[in-house]
Amino acid sequence: MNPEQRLQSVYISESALNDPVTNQIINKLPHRIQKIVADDYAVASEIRGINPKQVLYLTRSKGETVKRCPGTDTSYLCCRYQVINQTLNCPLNCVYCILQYYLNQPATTIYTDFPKIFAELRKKLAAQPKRFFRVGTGELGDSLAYYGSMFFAREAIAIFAEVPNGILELKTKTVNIDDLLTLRHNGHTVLAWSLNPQPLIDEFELNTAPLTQRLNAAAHAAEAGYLLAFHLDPMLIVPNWQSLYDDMLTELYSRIKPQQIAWISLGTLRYPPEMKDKMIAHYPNTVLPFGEMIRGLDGKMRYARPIRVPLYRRIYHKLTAVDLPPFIYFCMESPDVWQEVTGMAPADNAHLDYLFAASLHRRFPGLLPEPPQLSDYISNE
Amino acid sequence: MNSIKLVVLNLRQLNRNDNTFNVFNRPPGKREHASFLLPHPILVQRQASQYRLIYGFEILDYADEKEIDFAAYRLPATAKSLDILKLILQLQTSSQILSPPEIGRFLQLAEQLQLSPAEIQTQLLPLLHLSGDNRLIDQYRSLVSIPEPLDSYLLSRNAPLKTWLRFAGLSGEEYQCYAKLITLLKPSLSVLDEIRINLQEIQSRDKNSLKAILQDLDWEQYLTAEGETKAALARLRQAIYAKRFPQLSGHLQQIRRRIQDLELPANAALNFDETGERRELQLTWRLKTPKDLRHLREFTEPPTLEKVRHLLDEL
Repeated sequence: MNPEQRLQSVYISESALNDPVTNQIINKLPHRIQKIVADDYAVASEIRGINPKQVLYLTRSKGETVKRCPGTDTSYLCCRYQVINQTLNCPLNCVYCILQYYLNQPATTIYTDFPKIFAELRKKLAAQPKRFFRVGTGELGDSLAYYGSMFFAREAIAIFAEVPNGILELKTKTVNIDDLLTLRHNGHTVLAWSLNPQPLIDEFELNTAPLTQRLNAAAHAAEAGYLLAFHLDPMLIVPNWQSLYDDMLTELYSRIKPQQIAWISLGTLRYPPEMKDKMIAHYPNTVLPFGEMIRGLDGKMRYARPIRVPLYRRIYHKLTAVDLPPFIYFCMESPDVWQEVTGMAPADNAHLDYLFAASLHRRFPGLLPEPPQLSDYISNE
Repeated sequence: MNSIKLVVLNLRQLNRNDNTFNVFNRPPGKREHASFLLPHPILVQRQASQYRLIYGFEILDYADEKEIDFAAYRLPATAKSLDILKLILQLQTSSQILSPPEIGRFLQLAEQLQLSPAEIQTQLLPLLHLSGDNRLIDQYRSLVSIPEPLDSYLLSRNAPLKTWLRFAGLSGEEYQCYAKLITLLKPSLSVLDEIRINLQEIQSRDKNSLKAILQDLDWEQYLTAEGETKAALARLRQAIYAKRFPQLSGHLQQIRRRIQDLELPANAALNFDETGERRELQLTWRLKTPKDLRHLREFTEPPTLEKVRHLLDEL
């Protein structure tokens, strides 16, 4: 089932009516209740109590939409990824997803003022021309699950094809890439999939594409010349995690050549403590909140380090036991964990950001206009 | 309710079998006759040849003194349930904070009197300084069936709502287990809460019954440890924690053993972060005498430092 079918009504703010993408989206969603509202209309007051996944709100953005990924507390390393918050919410239902518990939006919101967002993006990238930016749209929603996100992705691919110091990452758990395969991307777009073993997808990633389909889509994307990325995040510690993840990695490398992969992230389940009760209330039979989790230095619940490090080690060694392995990094992990698993730890967030650029420059000649210099990353927070 | 009348009644005129409105806790113990002072006014309503008590059930503490006359306010027979409930709630909350089960009983009474969910949410909850939907109302109502001695235990320790809720809706067998625990091992509220959370999470994780989990823990051995309640409780907590966090507790035990092996003097301590997030040791050493200095020097000699290095590796 197309998850977008669950949308029951569409609210459109007056100013968004003038944006071309608004019509494109509406044409894709016939037979929905439509309501045009003033720009300052409080949609929340009208749809209180309705699942935000059933209501689409097309409007123009207010304030910044291109931001640095919020990451987490300074005790853990973050990669200084940049996010474009154009789509807020996701039609998929991952048990562990923080969006369904905390996204403070009464409706699934799609910003339609693309020119303003792209202007913001261009300005940000132009301000630091010697730094190579990684920019993604999959922070507050799936990059390709909604038509509105897809239309944005198509335009963003064209923009990034012309940007020398940036690369776009479209992160998804769907296989909605057919419309992207023929686009001119100039190597500056990475198509990325979150991965988990199929039994865990079945149990915890509801309404998402099966693993094999995700890998098939990735293979097609690679054929179309796209760079790929994979996010093994959140990895879940379940009784037979070893064999589950071993099998998944075998399948990954049997379908995808490591040389086609720009980066792979590793992260284990983590969430704010208050989310635990909400998760239990939403999914009473789930076992996810009952792992061996402690409150981390950033206040979030996460598997205790002595438990998650063996998982990371196993995965890391499997991923790197190939010729020309991809760049592998941890999302929101401590320098101690980096050190224990990889034998090195980035000095700080800027250093990690630089390591990405250095890896891309080395592995994909011509992608960066010139060799990255660590000093350009340190001086630019 | 304009037509409230002040009347003088005798205890014999009360229908003591009607406890419909008897939802608030009464202070334990009967007052002396000499201090025949009730904390609240008494509200009654005419019921056939008798009166039913609406509020002020403390008067029943004097039930054996049948000749006592007392003043009461008689509510009109036509008074609306909502108005009555608002009135008694205002009276009760003017002098004390309601416990969660009292709120639960009150909300159950509101339902019994056929108040609509909207009336409860908009008219009664604000008087309780609460705001919420049916879920919250149901949560409070679920507390009324927590049996003794658990009910008194939680009440006497001013347990917060979240703790009460953890004990709502258990099976009779489960209540018996917790009753045994609080009667025999007398845990503090925070310890009981910790035990309950861990056991509940083990149940959810392992899809197992409390009885089976406790049998697996051989928990009777802790309950029957005569004369050493505190130690038995500590061992039980440890056993439950180990079952809830098997790998982490194994890791922590191993580290603690290693630290013990270092045989530090009493004035020194080697601490570590039990969450495991900080991979470091913290050494504190109180120095007062030359002997302390000698011990410190011994600690920094290669064999001990090698042990510490191993310990760091294991952290």
